[in-house]
Amino acid sequence: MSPRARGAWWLLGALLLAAGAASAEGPAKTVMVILDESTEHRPKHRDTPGDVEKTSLLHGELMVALIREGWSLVLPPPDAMTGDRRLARDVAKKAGAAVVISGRVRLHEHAPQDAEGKMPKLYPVTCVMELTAASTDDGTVRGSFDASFSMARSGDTPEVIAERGGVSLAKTAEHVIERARTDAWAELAPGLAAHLKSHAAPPSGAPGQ
Amino acid sequence: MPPTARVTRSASQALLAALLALPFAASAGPGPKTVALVIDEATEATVVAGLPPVPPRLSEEVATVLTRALMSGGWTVIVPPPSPPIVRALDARDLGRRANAAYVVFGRVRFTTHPGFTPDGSVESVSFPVTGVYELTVVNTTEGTVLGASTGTLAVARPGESPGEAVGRMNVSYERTVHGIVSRQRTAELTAPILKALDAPAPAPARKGAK
Repeated sequence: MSPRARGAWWLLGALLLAAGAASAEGPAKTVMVILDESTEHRPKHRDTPGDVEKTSLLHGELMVALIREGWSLVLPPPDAMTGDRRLARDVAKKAGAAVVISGRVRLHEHAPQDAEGKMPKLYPVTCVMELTAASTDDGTVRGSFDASFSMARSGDTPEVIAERGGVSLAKTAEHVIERARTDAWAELAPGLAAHLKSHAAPPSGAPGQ
Repeated sequence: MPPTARVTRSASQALLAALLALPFAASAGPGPKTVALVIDEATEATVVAGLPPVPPRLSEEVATVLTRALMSGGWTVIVPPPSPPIVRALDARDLGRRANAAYVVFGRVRFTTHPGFTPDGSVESVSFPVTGVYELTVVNTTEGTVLGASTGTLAVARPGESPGEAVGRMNVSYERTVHGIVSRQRTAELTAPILKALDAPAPAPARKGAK
């Protein structure tokens, strides 16, 4: 090989390295979850002490599902709690996450039902949520989820409802959140896979490899 | 120069040219079916002492419903970077170009929460009524033209229905009421005009001098 040809190959190699460095905006399999979440009591038992930690159950469930799939989690700044998808994308991008999952989760605890003194007593909890997963580099939405849940599902027998909602508000909330997480994950997972497919393979040694 | 060296040289030159062209190919214009969503929101409340606080960002529900409808229609939805509220089509066009989207859907949604009531008319927090108004506009960012617009009002009660009959659909929370209106009752009404405007063929450019 002539010196000029060898020089051209060296130049090519250097350019390849430079292009690789320029396109590396962080590993593709990093994600930040920013949820605007809260639990509200309905008026009839507003004097009941609130349990604001309940909605973080969903946050936790989502993070467990993501880790199980090999995603690296980037934690949001302490004051980042926004339902605004545009702000969430900005925060996640600055923190180096390739994907952001943002949205709102509201749990509502209702007055325990004890119709005409009949047992068992029920502790109803309902949930409204909307989630959006987006790539932070170009803002492409990878999945969107929007649903409301209650402790009862169509076709449930009174016995099943009593078992699910007859222990405590916390126990009912667990059932509702578990159902919300399952449905949300089923909706978001294909989009997250599409994000990975559209990006370069993560370097060897990265989580999930 | 020996033939092998000549071949190596031309191959490396071709590779170099392809490599140099890559960044430009990657940053070429937006895909034909990319749309950026910019929904400005506001929630107003008729405040009554003792009632639950009014939740913020109810209109995010509208953005989510539109996102799902657009994605089902084969569109790639872009979340643009934060910006001041968009009120002019020109600003939407510029934002769309910055976000690398071929189209922008922008607009405003205003939800107003009202004190709860019982069917006998007394003010009591057993229901969570919400009404809303919206206006949405579709802009082609390449041409800088407005393709369509949609405005309307949102309420729980159906035409001819009394508030007492509708109370069963607003007895959980303000969020649940909005979810019911936007995601169940009025989804098609909200999304159909937008999808129609986006999927309509672009009008032929006006001829010079035409009246």
